[in-house]
Amino acid sequence: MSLFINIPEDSEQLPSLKTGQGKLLWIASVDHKQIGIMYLWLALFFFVVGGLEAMLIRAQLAIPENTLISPELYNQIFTMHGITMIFLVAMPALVGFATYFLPLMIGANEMAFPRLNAFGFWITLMGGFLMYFSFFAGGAPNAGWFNYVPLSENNYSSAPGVDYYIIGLILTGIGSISAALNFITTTLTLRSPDIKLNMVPLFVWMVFINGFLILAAFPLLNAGLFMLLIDRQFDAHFFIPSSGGSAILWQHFFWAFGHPEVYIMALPAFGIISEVVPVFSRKPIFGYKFVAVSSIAIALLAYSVWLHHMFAVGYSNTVNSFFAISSMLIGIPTGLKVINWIGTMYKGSIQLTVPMLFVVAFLIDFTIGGLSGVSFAIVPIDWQLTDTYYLVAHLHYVFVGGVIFSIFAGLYYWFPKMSGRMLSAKLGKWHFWLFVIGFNLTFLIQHILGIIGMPRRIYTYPDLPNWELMNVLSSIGAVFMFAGMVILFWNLYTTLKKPRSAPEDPWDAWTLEWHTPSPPDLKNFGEIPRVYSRRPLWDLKHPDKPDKRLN
Amino acid sequence: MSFTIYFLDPANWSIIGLIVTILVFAGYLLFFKTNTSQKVFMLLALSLIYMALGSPIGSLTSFGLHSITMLKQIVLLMVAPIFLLRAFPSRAANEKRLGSLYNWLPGETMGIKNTNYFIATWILMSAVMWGGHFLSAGKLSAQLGHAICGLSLQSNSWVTHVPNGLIFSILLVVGIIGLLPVFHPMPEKRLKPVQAVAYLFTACLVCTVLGLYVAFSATSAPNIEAVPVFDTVLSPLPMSLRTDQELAGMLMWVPGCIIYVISAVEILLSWYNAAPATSKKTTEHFTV
Amino acid sequence: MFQTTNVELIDKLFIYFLVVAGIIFLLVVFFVFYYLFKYRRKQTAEEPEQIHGNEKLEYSLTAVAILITGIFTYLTIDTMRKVQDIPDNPEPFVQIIGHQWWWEAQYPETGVITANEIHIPVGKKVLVQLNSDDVIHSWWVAQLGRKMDMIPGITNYVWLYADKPGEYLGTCSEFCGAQHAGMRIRVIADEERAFNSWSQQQLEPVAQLDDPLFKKGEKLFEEKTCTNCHAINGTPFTMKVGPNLTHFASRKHFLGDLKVNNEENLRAWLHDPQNVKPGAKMPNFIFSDQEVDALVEYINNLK
Repeated sequence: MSLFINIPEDSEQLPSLKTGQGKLLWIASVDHKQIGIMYLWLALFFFVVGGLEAMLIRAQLAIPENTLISPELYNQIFTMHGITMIFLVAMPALVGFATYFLPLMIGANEMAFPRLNAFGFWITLMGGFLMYFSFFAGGAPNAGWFNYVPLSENNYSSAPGVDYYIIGLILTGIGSISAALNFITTTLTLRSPDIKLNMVPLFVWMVFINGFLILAAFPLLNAGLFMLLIDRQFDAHFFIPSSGGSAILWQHFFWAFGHPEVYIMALPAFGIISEVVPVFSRKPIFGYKFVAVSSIAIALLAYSVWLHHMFAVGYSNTVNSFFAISSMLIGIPTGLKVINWIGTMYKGSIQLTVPMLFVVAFLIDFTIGGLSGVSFAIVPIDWQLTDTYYLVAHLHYVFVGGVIFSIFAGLYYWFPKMSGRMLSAKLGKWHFWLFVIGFNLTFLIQHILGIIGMPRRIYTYPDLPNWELMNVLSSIGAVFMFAGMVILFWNLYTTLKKPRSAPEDPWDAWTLEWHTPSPPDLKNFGEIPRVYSRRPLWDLKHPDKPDKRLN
Repeated sequence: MSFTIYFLDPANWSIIGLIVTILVFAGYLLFFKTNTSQKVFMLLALSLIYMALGSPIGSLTSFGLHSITMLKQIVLLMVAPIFLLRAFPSRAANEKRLGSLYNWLPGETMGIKNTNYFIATWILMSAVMWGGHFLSAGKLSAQLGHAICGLSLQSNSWVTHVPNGLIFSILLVVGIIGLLPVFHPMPEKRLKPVQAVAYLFTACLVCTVLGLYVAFSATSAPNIEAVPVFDTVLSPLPMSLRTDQELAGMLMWVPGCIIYVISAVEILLSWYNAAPATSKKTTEHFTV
Repeated sequence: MFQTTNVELIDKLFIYFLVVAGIIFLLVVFFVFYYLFKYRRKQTAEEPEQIHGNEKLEYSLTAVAILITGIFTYLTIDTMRKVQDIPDNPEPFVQIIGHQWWWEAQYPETGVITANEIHIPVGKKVLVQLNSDDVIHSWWVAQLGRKMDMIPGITNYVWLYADKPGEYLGTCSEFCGAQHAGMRIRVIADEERAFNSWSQQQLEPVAQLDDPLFKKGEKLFEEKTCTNCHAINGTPFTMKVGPNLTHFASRKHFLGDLKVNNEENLRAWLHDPQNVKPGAKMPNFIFSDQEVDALVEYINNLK
């Protein structure tokens, strides 16, 4: 029984920058490699914007009772910082890597739907620009990235910022859904005939699972967004309690999307780590099937934990208990993954290249983020610490320590393949140390700030004992991170000016993308080597001791 | 009446049920050649069914506890069938006795072709999951005279004539039919692993939505807190109507989902363990 | 009588969590760095042994994780039931209503209505009813009890307990708009007797002075439409949009605990509210200096 049919490859040449020189080809191109790179540029651009917003936030919070930024502007900035980093940085970067490497890793020449691929990119870009256009149209969204009702209703946010938020997110959401459809279909239909579904590289597997997460999560968000749009534009009452609506219905929609969203960002990041650790430990991934299966467990459980974002809403102990259980359970498959990555290093031959350095930082910092996450599953602790800087610290340890570090690891790892040039390792190490030290300086101390009572999302704070000291330290850390990013940009700039010199397989890796020239030709593979195991290039390089045959 | 006293009182344990359970188990041992794990699964399945129907926990329903009806439904529809199907040996070991029996079990060979068959079992299972819930809630409401989970029926309503035994049997049988595509004793009649996971995941969504509906409608029912009901508060597990309904919904949702998640994980782990099919490779490269 | 307070229960749970999480974290750090140093690439670049995994290890570690989860599930549910044991028919000691961006407090037993500074007796668990008048706020005074959201259309309850007299600071913990940061909480815990006399004092009728400036202020308060939002007990003006000002001068802080209640701050506030608390709902009435003098005289004598 087959639930799908195989799609024949396009016989005609699809438009790409590589087929002509016209400037319009930037827009017309449907080449998955070019779109992948454009996704990464998009993410990098918005990372600068979101990063500058973060610097403004830290400048404002460096001293108590600061009047540098007005509360109205501060609220717009922290809202846009959250939206930008999640929807316009982390997701596009991961989608970009997946768009570029998923076909290469499974021996395909294109995505299953090349035009949908381009559509997804452009609509994400437009959604992002639309949201930023709000700054010129009467004020950016200012009700937080979570946009709780009734604060985001007309009565309390009459400026059009929230409308821009709604439309912008609907658009980027449609973009994400189209990317997810493409990943799923490509993985199912375009694998080289040798590669069975249980043989794909872990990055591909996690992107595949992630596709289903996106398909199920984003419609929830979009449904909620449309209801809010109807409320705001046509005076409906879905979320207005004074006329029969519900103030917490939105929270259910938002977090039923929002918690899977965390894993939507984390799973591909885990995929990158699962590719990088083995290559630089010179060993196959430890417990492939546990890493793969735990992703499924995470994806399924991700939908039954969202109420832990709402433990302070006042649900009964009965309801909260069950969500506490499922929230703690989801920590188990995640912890298992960390164990397997460490297991991969065991008895290896570890090369501390820049990508591997980022993986090490990931292992330490993501563990902190994961463990502090468990404290929110323990309901009474959540009752004290939710919506404080402890939570701010936790989520940055997950998103920066987990996701952004993986993206950096992926960037240094795959840059030679994408551009044909090796990024400078020396500058890379500067970037690494500045960024990682800055990150930990900024956010480790925020755990304590939260425990001593500093709530999040406040534009200023009273001069209480030690608050100023800790906030100043935190802001100094942000400067370090900023310096690290400047070095990354310098590194990208100088590297891209050099001629192409990277070999086909600079890291001596094992997955199929390293069997193509750097960068790959428009048609990825003239011919694909036969694949018998999860590491096709290992088998080719070591015919004397190949991996166990799987097909 | 404390729960421990109630639980240990022999009068609350069904002797007939115990005898029937033992007889069924003995018959199973005599009739089939099985290995230890299969015997354990059978024992687990039977004791779960007995706990749900014949033990003091089962009879808590007489105190109007909706959560207990939900618990019964989860056991009969979602848990016991998995154990039962696991308890049956593969065909090869029991060719003589099982050949005809397994042919009788629905499967791909039954004539309903392919996808349609799986969709049919899925729909049947989901429909019974929802229908069984509302039927038992309605019965409970008719017996007790107050609303259960938003249903308020008269004491002479038709649902009171539906025997409990019928409901329980339907739940168990449909549970078995609904889980056959995933746990069929003959592996070749099962769905492929990834499809089985999709089947379980979508079933999980059904129980999630039901659980959500039951649990969160408890808060919105206007007078559910204002009227303390004698039965539920007097039961050995005293709780308010609202707690009872929330518990019912959450039981259906979280443990219900976890059952499916564990099954999905297990199926995939064995999928990764599967030995490669005999291969037939010669050339080094092929062109695409 | 010795009794563990809710806050102590939660703190204990947090310590348990810290110990277990700390051990796990140290193990991770240890193994990462130990392997990093032990298995650094040697000069002889020979590929190491290709190990694919260890099932026993995976299963046993999963079992350990499930065990820890089980223990914490038990502790969580146990603590939760102790901390949040709200009776079926709650009779709150005080009802607190969140407004953008100040707190209203009503004591059903005595009928006292006040704002921002909330008084409770010491050594007694008091049940607090939480509501919101506009958007979602969240009540949090870390030393007195758990955090609980205030949601329009929903009533929540929470226990507060202060073991010694004093002033306890807290803050609104759910983002509620421009002045979310300007929505701080001050709970004043008094000995029983002090609390009772405070209640008595709050129930007294509004102050009346013969001072002409006071009279002018009283008149201005009505003419300048202050009464459209602010109630003064014992007058026809009962609007509850802004804080009840009957005993304003008895409060040590105002504006959601943002400013000390003194003449200078009050003057600045009346001159230009948006300058003192940007975004606040009070409009700028463009009072003349004389008008401000009179209003300050009036309000500052509402003891």
